[in-house]
Amino acid sequence: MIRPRQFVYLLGFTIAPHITEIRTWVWITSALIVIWALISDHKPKYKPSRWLVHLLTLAFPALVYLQFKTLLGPDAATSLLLLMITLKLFEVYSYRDGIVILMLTMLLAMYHLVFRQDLFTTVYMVSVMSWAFYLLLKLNRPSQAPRSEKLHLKSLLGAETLVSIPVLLCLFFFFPRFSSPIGRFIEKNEDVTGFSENLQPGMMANLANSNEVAFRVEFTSGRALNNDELYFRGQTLEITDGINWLKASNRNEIPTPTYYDDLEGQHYRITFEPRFNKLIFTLNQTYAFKTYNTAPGLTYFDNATIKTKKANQLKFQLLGVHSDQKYRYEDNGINQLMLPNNFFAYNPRTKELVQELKAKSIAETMRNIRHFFKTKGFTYSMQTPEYASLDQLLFINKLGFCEHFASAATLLARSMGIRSRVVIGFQGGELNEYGDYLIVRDRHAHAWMEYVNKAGEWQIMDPTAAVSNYRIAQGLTLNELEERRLGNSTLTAIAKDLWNMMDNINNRFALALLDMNRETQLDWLRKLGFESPNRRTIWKVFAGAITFMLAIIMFILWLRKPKIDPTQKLRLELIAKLNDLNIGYSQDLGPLETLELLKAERPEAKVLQVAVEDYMDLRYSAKPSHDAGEILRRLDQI
Amino acid sequence: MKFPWKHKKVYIYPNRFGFLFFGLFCLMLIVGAAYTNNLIFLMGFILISFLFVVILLTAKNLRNIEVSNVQFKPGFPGEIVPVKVTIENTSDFEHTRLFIKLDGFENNAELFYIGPKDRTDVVLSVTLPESRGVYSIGRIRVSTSNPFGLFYSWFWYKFNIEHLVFPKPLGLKERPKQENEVGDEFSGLKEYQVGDPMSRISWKHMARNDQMLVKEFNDSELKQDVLSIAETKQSQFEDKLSQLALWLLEAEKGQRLYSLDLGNGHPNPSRGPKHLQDCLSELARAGEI
Repeated sequence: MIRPRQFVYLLGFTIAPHITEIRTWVWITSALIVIWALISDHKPKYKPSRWLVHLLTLAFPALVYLQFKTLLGPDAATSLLLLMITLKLFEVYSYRDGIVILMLTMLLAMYHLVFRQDLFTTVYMVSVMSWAFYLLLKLNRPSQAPRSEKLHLKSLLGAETLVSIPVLLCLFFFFPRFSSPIGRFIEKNEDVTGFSENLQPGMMANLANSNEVAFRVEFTSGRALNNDELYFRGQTLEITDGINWLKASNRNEIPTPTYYDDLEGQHYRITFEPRFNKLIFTLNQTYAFKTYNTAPGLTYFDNATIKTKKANQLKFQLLGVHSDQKYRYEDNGINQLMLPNNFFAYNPRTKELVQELKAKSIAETMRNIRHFFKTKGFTYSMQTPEYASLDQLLFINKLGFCEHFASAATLLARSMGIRSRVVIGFQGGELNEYGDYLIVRDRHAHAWMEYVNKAGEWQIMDPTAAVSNYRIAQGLTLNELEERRLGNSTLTAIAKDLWNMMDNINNRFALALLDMNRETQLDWLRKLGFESPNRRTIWKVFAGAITFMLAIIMFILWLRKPKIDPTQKLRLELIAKLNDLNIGYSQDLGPLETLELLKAERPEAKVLQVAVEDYMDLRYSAKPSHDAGEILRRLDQI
Repeated sequence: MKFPWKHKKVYIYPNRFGFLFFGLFCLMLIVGAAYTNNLIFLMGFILISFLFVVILLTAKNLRNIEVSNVQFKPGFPGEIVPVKVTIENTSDFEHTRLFIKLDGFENNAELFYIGPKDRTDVVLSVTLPESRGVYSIGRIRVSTSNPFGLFYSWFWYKFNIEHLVFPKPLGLKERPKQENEVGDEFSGLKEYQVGDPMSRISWKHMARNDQMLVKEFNDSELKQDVLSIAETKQSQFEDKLSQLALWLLEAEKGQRLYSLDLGNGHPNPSRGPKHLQDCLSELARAGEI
C-alpha cells in the first residue's frame, strides 16, 4: 500500500541543500503541510477536506507569483514545486500518485543544478535520482511477496544496469546541444547574493557577509600581480544624488578587442559561478578578452565594462590579458563632474575642505584627498549609520565601508573639477595552493573610484586602502580580520586546507562537464577529420554513435541469453511432448508413473518411451549411459 | 508443442507511466537548454539511460520464465472452468507480477511472486464457448510491467492443446423403452423409495391397490444401458448429441452401467467420472473429421 511517509524522507533529502535558496514562508508552510499529511495518514479524521486542498492548490501559485512576479524563474519554480509536492502528500491513494510525486521530486532536484554546478551537487542529485528509482522499484514490488525475501538488488538489477554507462556517455558526448526559446523568460536582474548594477548604501556591507564564491582567477602567463593590483571592475557609476550611485544610461557600445594567446601582458582565466545578472568582472586594465567555449555573447562599453547579452546561469570562462596601460578618457557626453543639487549648501564643511585640499595639479589634489582619508581618524567598519550628508561622514561619525569612502572621494574630486566616477567590483581574493588559482568571494566585493589624470587616462584611487591598510595591501576583508582576531587553530587550518583541495577538484570537475557544448563538439569533429562540420553533422554523428552502441549492446545481450541446463531442457521438452499427446499427463506424476501411462495409452510411441527411460537413467543413475544432448536430438526427430 | 526457449520473442513498449517519464526527460532537456546548463542535460541523460535499463530489466523479468504445463478441464458450453498453468522460474532471482492470459479468452491471472528456481501453478477461470466441439488453444500470453512499472512486456508461449466442449444436456430425461436392453428379467415388486426411477413404477398395481410399488429385476448384474444415437427422437444432429449428453448424466446419476453408441458400435459398458468424461468427450468430438 502506498503511504505518504514513503516519500517524505526523499523529499527532505532533496530539499535539504535548497533550504538557503528558499523563502522562509515557503519551507515553513511545506514543513507544516508534511506534518499534517503524516498525522492525517495515521488518523484519517484529521484529513483536510477536498475543497481546502483545491483552494490551496490555487492559492500557492498565486502566492508564489505575487512573491516572484513569475512562475518560471528558478526561485519561483523551486518554491512552487516544493509546495505542490507537499500538497500532493494529502492525496496519496494510488500508484499513479506515487509516480507523480517521484517525478516532481526529480524536477525539484534538477532545479538545484541551476543554483550550483559542482561535484558535490552533481553527486547529491544523482543520489536523489537513484533513491527515486529505488522507491519506484519498491512501489512496484507486490505486497504478496514474502516478507522474509528481501530485495536482492544485485541479482535483480544485474549486469543490465551497467548498460546505462555507455548509453549515458554516448548521450552526454554526442547529443547535439541546442538553445531553448524559453530562456528569455527566466532572466533575473539581481545576483543570488544581491550584486546589482547600481550602488545603494549597505549593498557592499551585505555582500561582505557572504562567503559565496563569485569567480576563480588563474594567471596563465606573465608576472604575478600584487594584491593591490587585483581590482576586478564590474560597473562604473556616474550619476549620484549624494547617497546612491547609478550608471549613466548613454554609454556607447564599442567593438570587442580581439584576444590572441601571444598578446603581451598578464594572461588570466576567470571562471564565473552561475549568476543571474549580466555584469562581467575583468581585471582592471584588461585590454583584450574572449569568452572560453561556453559563450554568452558579450557587449563591450566605452567605460571598460563588459556585459553578457543575456543572463547566463552557468559557469563559464573568460580569457583576458592585463597590461600596465591605463584606459584612455574619451568624452562620450557623460557628465563626470556631476554633483547633487545644492551640494555645498547641505555640506558647508565639505566646501571648506575642498578649498583646503585643492592643489595646482590633479595628481597633487588626489594625493591630498588620499592623505586626508589616511590621517583624519577614519575607521573601516560595517557598523555605519545612515548618512544624511557628506559632512556627517567626513567630520562627525568618520565610520565607513568601502562604498562610503569611494563615494566621498569621488564627490570631493568632482568638487575640485576632477572628472571621476565610482567603480564597483571585487578586490583581492584567496589563493588556492592546490589549483594555484585565486578564489574571489562575495565578501571581496569592493567599491573604489577612478579619475582622469593629466595624461587623459583613468587612474584608480582607493580611499579604503588609505583608511585600512589591511583591506587592500594584505587583501583581508573584515570577515577575515575577524577570523584572524579569533585565532587560527590547527583544526581550522586543516579544515581550510581540505576545503581548498575539494574546491580544486570541484572546479576541475565542473569545468570538464560544462565545457561540453556545441563548440567543443564541432572542435572534436574537426579533429576527427570532418571538413567544416555544422549542426547537421553533429546530429548525424550522434545517430551513428547511438546505432553503433545499440548494436554492440544487443550483441552482448545475445551472447548473454539465458542458458538452460541440458537436463532441465530435456525435462521441459519431454513435458511438452507428453502434453501434446493428450493422454492426461500431469506433472504430478513421477517418471515411472509417466512411463506406465505412456505404455498404456500410446504403446506405439516407442521413441518417447525410450526417451523417458533414458531421462530416468540420466537423472537417477550414478553413471548415466546417455547425455541430454543426444536424447534431445532423438526427440527432435519425432 | 515447440521448444519454449527457442521460440520466445519478448515484446516491449512503454506504458503511460513510461511515456510520462519520457516527458520528464524532454522537460529536462528544455530546461537544460534554457539555462545552457550541462548538468541538467546530464540529469536528463541519466533518466533516459535509466529508462533504457528498465527496458532490459522488464524483459529480464520474463526471460527466465517458462510455461511448463497447461491443464484445461473440459466442460459444458458457457461453463466457467479452471485452467491450470504451471509457471517455472529458472533463474536465481525473484520474478514479480506476471500476468497469464490464454489467447482468445478474456480473463487474466496474476502471479504476484515466484521465487528463485521455483515452480508454481496459476489457475485461470475461463468461460467455455457456447457451442460444443473440439477447440484448440495455440498460445498463452505471459506479460509483466515489473520491476519498475514503466514498460509493458510480453511473450507468447506457443503450444497446441485441445480443449473439449461437451454438448449442452437438453431433451427428455427419460429414454424410450428399448428391446435390446440387457438383464431385465422381472423378479418381483418392492415398495417405492425416493430416488427409484419413475419408469419402474408398476402403474397397474397403483391403479388396483392404490399402493406405489416398483418393479425389480432379478439378474445378478447391474442394469446396463446402451445410449444410442438411433433412439433419440430429435431431427438435428446437434440436438441428438445434446439428448445423449443428458441421458449420460442421468445414467451416471442413476449409478447404472452404460455405454454410448454413435452408430459405430459400443464399447464395454461402465460407469464413474472417467467413463462419463470419455463418453462426453466422444460426443464433443462427434462429427470431427
